[in-house]
Amino acid sequence: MSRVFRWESKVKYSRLLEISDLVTRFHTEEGVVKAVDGNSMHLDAGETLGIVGESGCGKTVTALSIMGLIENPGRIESGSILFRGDELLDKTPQEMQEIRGKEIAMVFQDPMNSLNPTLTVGDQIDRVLDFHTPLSRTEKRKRAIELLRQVEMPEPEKRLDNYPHQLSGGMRQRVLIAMALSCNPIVLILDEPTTALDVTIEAQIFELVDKLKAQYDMGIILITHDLSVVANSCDRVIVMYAGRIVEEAPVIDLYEDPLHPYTRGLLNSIPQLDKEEERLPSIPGEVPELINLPEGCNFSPRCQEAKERCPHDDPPLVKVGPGRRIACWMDNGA
Amino acid sequence: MGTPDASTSEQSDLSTSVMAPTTEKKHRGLLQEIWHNFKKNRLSLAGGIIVMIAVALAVFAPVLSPHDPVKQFRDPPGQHSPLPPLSRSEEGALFLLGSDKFGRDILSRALYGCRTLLQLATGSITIALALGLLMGGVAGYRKGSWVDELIMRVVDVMLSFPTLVLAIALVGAFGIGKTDIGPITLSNMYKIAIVIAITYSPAFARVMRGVVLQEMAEDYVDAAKMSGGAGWQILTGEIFVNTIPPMIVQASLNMATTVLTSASLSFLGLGLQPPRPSLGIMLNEARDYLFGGAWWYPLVPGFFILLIILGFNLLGDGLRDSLDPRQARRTQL
Repeated sequence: MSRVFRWESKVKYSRLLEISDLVTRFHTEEGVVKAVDGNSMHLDAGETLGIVGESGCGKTVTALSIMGLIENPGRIESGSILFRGDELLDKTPQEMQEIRGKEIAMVFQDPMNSLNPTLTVGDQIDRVLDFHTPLSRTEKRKRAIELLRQVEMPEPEKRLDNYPHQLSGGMRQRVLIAMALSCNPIVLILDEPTTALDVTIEAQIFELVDKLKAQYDMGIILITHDLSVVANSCDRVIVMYAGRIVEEAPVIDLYEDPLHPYTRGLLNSIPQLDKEEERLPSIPGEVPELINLPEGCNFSPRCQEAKERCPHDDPPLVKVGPGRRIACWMDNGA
Repeated sequence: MGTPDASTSEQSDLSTSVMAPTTEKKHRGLLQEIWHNFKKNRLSLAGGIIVMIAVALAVFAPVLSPHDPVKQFRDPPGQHSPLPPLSRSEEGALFLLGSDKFGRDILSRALYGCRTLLQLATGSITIALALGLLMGGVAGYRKGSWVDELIMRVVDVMLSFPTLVLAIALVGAFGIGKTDIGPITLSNMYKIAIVIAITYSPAFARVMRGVVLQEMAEDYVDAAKMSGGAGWQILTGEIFVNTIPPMIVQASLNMATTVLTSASLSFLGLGLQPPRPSLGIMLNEARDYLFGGAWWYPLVPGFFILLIILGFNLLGDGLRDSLDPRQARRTQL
């Protein structure tokens, strides 16, 4: 049933998400945290968008804003999130609940704790199906086995009756992906899906995600702090720093010709086997606190190429090429 | 690495699981796991056995009792009730553990007393648990809202009374006879069960709220929200199952004090009414003979009460340790 519906809808909207000027702030006792500060981005069907940045740069808050799960003291102050042309910020909590898990699904950072320890794998998949579908018991079981098979879980019939503690980290992440896929989502958000996993498992998970993306024809947002992950699995990359987008580029362009000094710094700090280096270069300093951001460009205190105007004027995010945007005075024609 | 097929993926998955404390090899179910932990502790096993014996005595009281618990036998010539153990009535009935001041068989009365006491305690614990789960669950899930405030302030007020005092006050309010509420007639026993349940429900509510708050901080609750669960669905479907182990422990630990409260109410004449056999009433009647040489009279009901309370205490401790080792360590600190 949903197949037909989705096929029709896809013809209408190849642009799945259109976020413009999103501002999400947390009003804490210490002050206002500008977690997401006026960002615009979009996601098309069938593409993987990577969002990269250090911890606390607003990646996860962006994802939670899309999901409508910003909780007190946080608030989405302004902006718009269009999901297939529909304004998500105008939806009632009930309508958002319908969308979550069914149209937009999210896989969480930590597979160790994201599964309910007292329910079997099968029960947990059933519950997501219960939220959104009227399937019967046997139908749900069939669907759960099908899902586990799709995420390449060995012996899906047997695993269905396992508890999370009987599974390894990689298997748990597969279960979480299966749960996210259970209602044929249109957008899948993966929030650091492999941070807690081994490198070998990481590679397997991403291969799986790529395969499923084609199979389900979803748009994927991949949130990570690991640029090497992005290189292998994303089509387009957004680099965020202190709540703002500093650079956006197709993945190949970003690696071949990073424009923003921050992006260059990030790329330089990836260890490379073909170069012999005494010490891995790193970006000096720390991410500024989001409560008191520096004046001017947020990155200027750490930027080695900062010019005179950088600490005073905020660089706007401007288009510099096909699919490329950058927020820096330097490469801006300035 | 190359393209992973099913076998390589399983291999590498297994290699990560070596680090996890529970490996796949054991593959025990949850209940087996609990039983395995439980039987390691000798004392809790003893508690379990004591409870089972007490329950068996209560269930089979009609079969095991040598006499009718309310039948008054005539004293043999030259002797006065209470009669010591192993003596006979004029009719020739053997009092294995002696008779009481009305010439009734103490053993039979004690067995029936166990029966009513356990019925009362189980009933009231069940009602208290239900009330507590509801109040604590809602308060915890709506933390900081007016509902939470309201429920928890009521709970605070009720907890500030000593249990027995509150129970006596409630009995005073409800009376000890039968009560008709519309088409339902509540017997004395039901009313006492409800009174005790009300006095114990705040304790359950508070524990439940704490457990719910603890579980709400877990990632799986966020994950459930992300897959589109409604608030009540998450509370009943995700959080509730995780509150069962600590609540079972709480129930079994409270079982002992509930038994004591039920017996105390009867002792004070505010619980079950004579001639109904009750361990509390028996103790009350035996008061006059404490120093009169009839040692068996208070000893038998006292021993049965002790047995039941000891059993439930040991069982509760053991369950706590085996259901949640983390909890055990925390309470020891």
